[in-house]
Amino acid sequence: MLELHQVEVAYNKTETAVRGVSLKIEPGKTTALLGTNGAGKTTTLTAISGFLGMENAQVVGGQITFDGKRIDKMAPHRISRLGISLVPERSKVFDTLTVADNVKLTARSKKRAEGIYEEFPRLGELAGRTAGYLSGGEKQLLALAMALMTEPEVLLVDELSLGLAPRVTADLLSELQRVQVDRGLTVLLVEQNAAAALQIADYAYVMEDGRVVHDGTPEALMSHGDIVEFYLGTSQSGDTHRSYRDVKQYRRKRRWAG
Amino acid sequence: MDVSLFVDTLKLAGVYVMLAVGFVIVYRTSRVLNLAQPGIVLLGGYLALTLLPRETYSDARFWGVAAVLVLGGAAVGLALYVLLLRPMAGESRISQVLMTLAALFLIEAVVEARWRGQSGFVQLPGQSTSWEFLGSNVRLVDVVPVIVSVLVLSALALFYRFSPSGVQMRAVAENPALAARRGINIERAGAIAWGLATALGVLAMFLVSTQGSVSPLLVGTAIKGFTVALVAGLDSLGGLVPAALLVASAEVVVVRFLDPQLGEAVPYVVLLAVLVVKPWGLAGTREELDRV
Repeated sequence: MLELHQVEVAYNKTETAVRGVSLKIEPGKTTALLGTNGAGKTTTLTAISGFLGMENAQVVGGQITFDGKRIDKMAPHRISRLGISLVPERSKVFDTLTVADNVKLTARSKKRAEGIYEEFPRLGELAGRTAGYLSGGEKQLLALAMALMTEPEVLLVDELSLGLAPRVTADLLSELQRVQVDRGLTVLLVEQNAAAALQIADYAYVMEDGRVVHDGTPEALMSHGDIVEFYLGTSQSGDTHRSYRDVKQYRRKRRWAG
Repeated sequence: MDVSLFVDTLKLAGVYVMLAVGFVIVYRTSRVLNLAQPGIVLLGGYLALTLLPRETYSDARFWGVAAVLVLGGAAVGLALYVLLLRPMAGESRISQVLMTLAALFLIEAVVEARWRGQSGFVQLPGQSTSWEFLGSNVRLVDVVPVIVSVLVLSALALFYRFSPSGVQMRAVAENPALAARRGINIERAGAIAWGLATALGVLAMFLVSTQGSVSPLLVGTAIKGFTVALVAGLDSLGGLVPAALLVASAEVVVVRFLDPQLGEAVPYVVLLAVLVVKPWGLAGTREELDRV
């Protein structure tokens, strides 16, 4: 099991982006991490996957453990080899390499690389193309395939829907759901699109200002007044408030972050 | 047709490619300008001078010493990376570049202390071999830099295109954070790059010594290689060939038809002219300019 206990992350040793976050990610389940921009979701996910020295970020408090082993001081490539794979929010594929090279790069065996084209036939058609020329959805699919090439137990997925049309997002989420079920993967999904994430998640955490402010099953969260109002776009009375985003942000911060 | 003009240009271009390739390999993988590279060339030159005295020279000894020095060059590159650069991960690029500059000054100081500015020629196999070609005398040592540079660039192109380590190094060059999270050991990629670059720096020294003596001025010659790397675009191996041909042809023409004393300034004039027109070099990528 992947666990975060009171994790604190700071950039440049001074700017705290994650403050005492504790998560329990159940094996074989999909857990969603929700929140608005700047809530600390991506930093949390990146902390699990390990920081590089050049990223000027580090876990300054708490512990991250995977199957009882501390991983918060490990190099990213070692964490990847332990079975935790990240699909990052941006720069998720190697643009200058072909699709085939992107796939081969992380494959543990040649057979495994060939198997991925059976699982994702669209990538087989694109194998010779330079990854930088793929569409957003195709890049996301390639990124997912690359993460799977390392044969992970835990898949960390950051903003699958970023910059994509709703229909492409829906296709990708259903693809993710299929992969999760077929492989019995543990998935930690970071999403701003709360409604889409809650549809496929077994459990969810909500972050605000670097802290976890709510957690529960999708059913429980979808019946929670604040979540409905701030993330699903309707108030308890059923009115839509999308045009009052700033007002909602102010109210959310005042209510949750004190 | 003046064949010697053609031969002089090609051999000088071959030497420049070999002096420049080390800068490009390191930069592509670790985004650091390795200013210690001229020091490696200098140190290699003086060690060759010491280990290959004229009195005991034999071709067999030359090849043995060359192999040891090239491997030693790789070891020095690895040591520079592990001891100086790796601990500085996360520091600013300029700090890392300054570290390599400090390493250059240190190597120069050590060479000065040990060899006291002496100069001499490294004897090479087949030094007296030459042929008549279209009325000109073409020496073996004039052809060797061309052959070696073509072989090295071809081998590097194949390495980066087809070998798993080469593809991984391209991935690290493009996005080290993603590469690390895909399970690639980026420190191993960096170590390979530094070792390879400094080994090729020592090899380049042998090619430089086909053209002249080993002396403290070798650093200046190696810096011309840096100039060629900048003209090429710093992250472009493919750009090295046109860049080296451009710099070498301009230098040969100036030396031959204008004033030999002006030859030393030509690479820098070419660099300034290219940077004015294409700040990212002949074949470099625009983004690289922002990263430096």
